[in-house]
Amino acid sequence: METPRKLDWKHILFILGIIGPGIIAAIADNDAGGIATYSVAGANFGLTMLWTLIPITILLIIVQEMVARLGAVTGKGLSDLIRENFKVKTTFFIMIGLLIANLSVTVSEFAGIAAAGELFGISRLILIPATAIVIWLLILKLDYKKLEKIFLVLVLFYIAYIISGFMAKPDWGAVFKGTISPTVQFNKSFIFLLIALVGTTITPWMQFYLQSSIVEKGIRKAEYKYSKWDVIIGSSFTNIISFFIIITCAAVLFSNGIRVNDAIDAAKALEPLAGSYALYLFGGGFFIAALFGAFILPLSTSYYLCEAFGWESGVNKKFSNAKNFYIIMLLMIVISSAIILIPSINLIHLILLAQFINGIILPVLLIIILKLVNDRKLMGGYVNQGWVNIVTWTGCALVIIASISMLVVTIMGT
Amino acid sequence: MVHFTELKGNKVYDLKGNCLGRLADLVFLDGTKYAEITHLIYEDENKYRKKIPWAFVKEFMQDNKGNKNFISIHLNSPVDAITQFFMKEREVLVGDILDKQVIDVDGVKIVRVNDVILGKVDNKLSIVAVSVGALSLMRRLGFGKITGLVSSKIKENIIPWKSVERLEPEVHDLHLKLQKNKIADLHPEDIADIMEDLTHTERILIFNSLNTQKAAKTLIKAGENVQDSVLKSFKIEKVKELLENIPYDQAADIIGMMPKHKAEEILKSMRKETSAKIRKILDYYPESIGSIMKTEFIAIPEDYTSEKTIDLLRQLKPSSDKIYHLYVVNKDNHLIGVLSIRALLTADPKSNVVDFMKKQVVYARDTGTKETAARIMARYDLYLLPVVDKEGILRGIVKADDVLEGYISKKLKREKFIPLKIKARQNGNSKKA
Repeated sequence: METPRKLDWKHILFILGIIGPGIIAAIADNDAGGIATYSVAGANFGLTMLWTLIPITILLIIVQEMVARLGAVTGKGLSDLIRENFKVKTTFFIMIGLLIANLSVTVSEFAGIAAAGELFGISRLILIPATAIVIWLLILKLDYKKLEKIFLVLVLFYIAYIISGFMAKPDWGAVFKGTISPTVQFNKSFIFLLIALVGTTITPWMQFYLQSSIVEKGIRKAEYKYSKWDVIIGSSFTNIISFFIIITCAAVLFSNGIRVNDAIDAAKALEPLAGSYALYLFGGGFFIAALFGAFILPLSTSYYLCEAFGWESGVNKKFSNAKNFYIIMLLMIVISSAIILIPSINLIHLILLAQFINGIILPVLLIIILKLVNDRKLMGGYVNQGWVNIVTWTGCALVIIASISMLVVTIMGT
Repeated sequence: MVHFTELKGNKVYDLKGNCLGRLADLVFLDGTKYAEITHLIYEDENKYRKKIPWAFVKEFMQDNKGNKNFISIHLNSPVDAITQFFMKEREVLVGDILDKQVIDVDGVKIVRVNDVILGKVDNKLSIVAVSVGALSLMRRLGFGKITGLVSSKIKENIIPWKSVERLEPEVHDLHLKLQKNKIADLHPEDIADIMEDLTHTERILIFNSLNTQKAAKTLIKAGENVQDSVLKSFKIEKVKELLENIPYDQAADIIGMMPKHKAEEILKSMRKETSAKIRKILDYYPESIGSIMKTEFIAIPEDYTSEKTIDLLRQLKPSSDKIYHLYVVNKDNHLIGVLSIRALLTADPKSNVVDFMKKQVVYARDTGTKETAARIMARYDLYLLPVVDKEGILRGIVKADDVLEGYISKKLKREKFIPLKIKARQNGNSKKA
């Protein structure tokens, strides 16, 4: 019999099929901005910031788990739930904020692509238009399932960072000590970087992305137990990558007294000290990370906006049936790549703007998520219970404090 | 005509001019064309919700400036003369549609309701349409003035209530059938398309509202996600009922997608002969002709006359696609000839089918590939092809559209073709507006 064998395969694929959204969401979060932040943390503060990854991972898991649960139990996306349970004005505020913030983040991803390309001697005048076209064609030609598989393959490229971490030959004893012993320096740049680490790991858009991919996969209450592990594995994996970025930069750059401002600086500085492999692994990983972000952000942003405002959406729809969906996506790609092609553009203001808006939205969003996840009408027996509630409120409070401090720091002008 | 969001939150006065509270919601009774408003719900100063029959409402009054944001609602009796009701759980509220997704049955898509439009129909306040466009959204965001300036140019995007299918209120009770079933008139392909955009619970709700035949056809046309949703949640009994109402080959397709234990359970619960036929199809290699052929077909015994054959067809009333070609078999069920319906009708009633059938029959083997079938059909311009096993026994027929299915990508199949109906609706709208 042919069929039963096929069914067994399907069953395995089914469980594998549930695993995915959590991992992709978490990894996509290690985008151009994220990697830059970790590189700077490693190069400028050595191993002293390593310990922060543990609480950050826990915070990430707390938030992602709630969002995954919302998706699995209600079967609806986050923007769907916000629109149905909060006022139109709240929805509008969050959506417009999300659009502007995600657009700025997309710009920074394209900037990352350009910078990484130049590292390998490819002109941005060729690379940026080419990437924009490839992204657009892939979105048009492939259905969501195939896109997700591509994303999962891209995830594998992040292993480059783990390899470069080992090749940097760090002092493992010191790494261990840095991981378990919390140290805080009370100076402005340390505190700023600490907040930035939280801010770059827990972003508004990834909550939307995770929930909608859980829904897209058709994951339900009964299968939620697998999704929980998906979230835990994803969140841990992404921070393991961050961990290796920090130790690479700490071992090679910090110990040699080299300070950097972004990921490309770090990759360039790595080359003479650790050999050209470091340049390729680090620069290549950075390129993939930026590409990943540039891919996911326009697509997902367009989904949420359409979901909230009730426009037809989906990559399997014809252009004429889902005009708004395609136009938002196209505009995001075109605007971001066009900005990067403007000669001598300074992106620092744009990146600060993205951080600023994310800093405003994130606290509101977390409170909304907590309210939704505790709504008995919506969640039934799946509301937060007892100590989970205390943990989630505390966790979210910490993230909120971090993002508000970020706002203050950004306004004061560091 | 008035928008629900403009009415909501405004003060309700009794006959003596006492302010009772603010309008919180409206209760409606759904109908096919319009939905009559039966009660109003207001919230008093202590935040208690009270329900009074709509019959007590005398009028709405706009304030002097004609500002739509200040509409006061006046009742025709003093407060103590008004019967107040408790809220019942099952009531359908206008607030339940607002901001929620509904199905636009004519446009075959899911839309989000930005506002609900109320109007007088036969002197009763009723829901006449829902508003889904950007204009209504702007109005709710407080940009009403700006939209007022440009709205003459932009058309208000509204969907008449007769094309609206609600999703929310009964969702919690999956066994409750929809009162009106606008969606059931759609083609299974289109229902399947709508399903893609719905949540799991909503899919089940719609499935339960369809009759078995339609539900089964929808299930076949649906994407994998939707099939998965339905098969996982339906009880064995319900799935069995669905499967027994569709052709065996399609039933086999669906069973083939289920987990092994569930497939086995369903097959066991079916009638023996049905499950045996399905099992036979399941045994075929997935890409083979055997796996896509129809095992319900008409075989004419060789000793039949033209008259007797026509009588048989009268009795069986086969569907039109099965009547194109009739296959003649001998007493061992070997395929020996083919009859066109033309040959049958023009032949002498007393003549034997063997005398006017075509003896050179083009056929396919059950173990052959779909591609072989496609090539044969293309070469001989055939719509139907008989399928025989290695002994030459007629096992089934294969239809051109089933062969074609494999050659068209899922993506292309999901393209919508809804030309005329939509245009007709839009014309209707502009007349009303």
